[in-house]
Amino acid sequence: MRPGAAAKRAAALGLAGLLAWVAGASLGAAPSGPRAAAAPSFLQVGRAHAEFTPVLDGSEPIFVVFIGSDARPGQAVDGERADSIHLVGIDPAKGRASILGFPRDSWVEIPGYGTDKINASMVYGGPEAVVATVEALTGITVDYWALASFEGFQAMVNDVGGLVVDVPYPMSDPYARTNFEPGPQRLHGHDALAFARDRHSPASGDFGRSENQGRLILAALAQFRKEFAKDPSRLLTWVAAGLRHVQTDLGIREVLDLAFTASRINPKRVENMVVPGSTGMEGGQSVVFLSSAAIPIYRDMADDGFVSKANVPPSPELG
Amino acid sequence: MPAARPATLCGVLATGKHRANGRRFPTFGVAVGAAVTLTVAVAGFLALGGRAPLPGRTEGPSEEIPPFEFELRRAVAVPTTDAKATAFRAQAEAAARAAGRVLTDLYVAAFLDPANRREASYAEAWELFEEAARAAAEQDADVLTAGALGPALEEILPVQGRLAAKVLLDDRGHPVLVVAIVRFTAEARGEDGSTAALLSTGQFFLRKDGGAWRISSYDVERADRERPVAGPSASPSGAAT
Repeated sequence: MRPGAAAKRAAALGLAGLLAWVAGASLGAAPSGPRAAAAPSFLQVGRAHAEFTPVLDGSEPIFVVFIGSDARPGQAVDGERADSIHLVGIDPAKGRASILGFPRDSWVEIPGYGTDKINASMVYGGPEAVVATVEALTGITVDYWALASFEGFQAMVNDVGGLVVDVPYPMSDPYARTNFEPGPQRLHGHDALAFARDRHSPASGDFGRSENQGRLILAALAQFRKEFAKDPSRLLTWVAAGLRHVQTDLGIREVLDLAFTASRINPKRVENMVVPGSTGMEGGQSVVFLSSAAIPIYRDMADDGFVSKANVPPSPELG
Repeated sequence: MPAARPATLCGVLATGKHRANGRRFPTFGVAVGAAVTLTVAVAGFLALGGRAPLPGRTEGPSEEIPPFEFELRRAVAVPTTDAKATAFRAQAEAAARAAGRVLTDLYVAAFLDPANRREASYAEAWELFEEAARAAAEQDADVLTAGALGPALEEILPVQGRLAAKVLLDDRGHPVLVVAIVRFTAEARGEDGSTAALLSTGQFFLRKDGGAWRISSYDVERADRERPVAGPSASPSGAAT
């Protein structure tokens, strides 16, 4: 080997090694074209949302009678007069519903007990007699009933953090203890009960009061739906509040089914109305004689739980 | 444009061989030079950003299901009587753990089981839903599972699975409904070596169905993020086993 050849060879090898290092390193460090381009296409990058809420079979409407008992603390909730009676029809297929209030002094036939005010039906035979009376009056088969006392209603409203109610007109009644300006406001248990009981602020008396009770049901629906959309686990708070303070023939699974179904009902697609009628006297007591104009309402509601605009009577208070 | 990785390595070798055939170096020297060149090139490739296998990983797709279990952080009883919630802590925790097992099974079947992913077939996941919810869940497969992209993913490793639960009790104190609020994170690696952080958050409602807890409702969101190509390695440390 000639002198200097080894050194040249070593230098050449070193140079080749350096070039190879640089080439290899640059190829390793730099993302290749295809890899960089392919990265996003292989992976689901971004946001996506999926939700499913079970609703009851939409083939049949569901009818529930909501009863507010006049029972005071210590009295049997189902043994006193019914202070409020509402028939709620739900059309699960179309996510809509109707609330039909019965003035408590409505003079009606109570099956098995003769003719009396509708609120006396509960004294005769508890919630079942109220249901039988509503069924006889409307021709609608009721699926379930739910009954709350004054105390239970207040506690229930407090358990869900109060209800935002759109008070329709100024309300001031020393008997019911209302003092509300019109407009949306959050009413806690005591005030919500006062709003439900005030029959002096509405010019139409019991008719307007029954309509306001329907407003509370609507407010509860709207608020539940809003909270459920934001945090579905709130459903448990509402269901627990209901089951804690309400007597019902609904099983817990049925309550859950109804709650899921309610989450799909748009409050704007709920008609709140009161059976039309006129006041009169019967046996020395003031009563309400229901109008024959109620018959098309019953028929319409029986069909799918919903009363179409054409059959909705004017508001007793607002026209 | 640089050649793809296998071609690049071949290219380095070919270059060395071509030079070895030159007149300047004898055969032995060429062999030594080629060996040194190859060693140095590979070392440079790996040291300066080459895609070495990440710690704990193999280059090829693994057929093993990585260990994963949702960690129960909190279970709250929601009684339907006037009893205090704290009186039902044990029942709530037991129900929450049972629900957690169902959701662990769901996420394993939906993301971590390579066999399901390769086939983009998640039948084991759908069995965990109530019948009424199953069709909807299958339609939401792209959010609830690795989805149709499953076959393109070499690997998904869990990073963390957390669960908090609210448990509704009946009037006898028996759990009837569990709402599980979950957060699942994982790292996915595509066939091309690209990676992404997977994030699945949401709420699952579970009810007893024939003695077993099944998912009856859900509200789930995916928010995945692409990672840089030479991203850090993931560790399944948050996954309790």
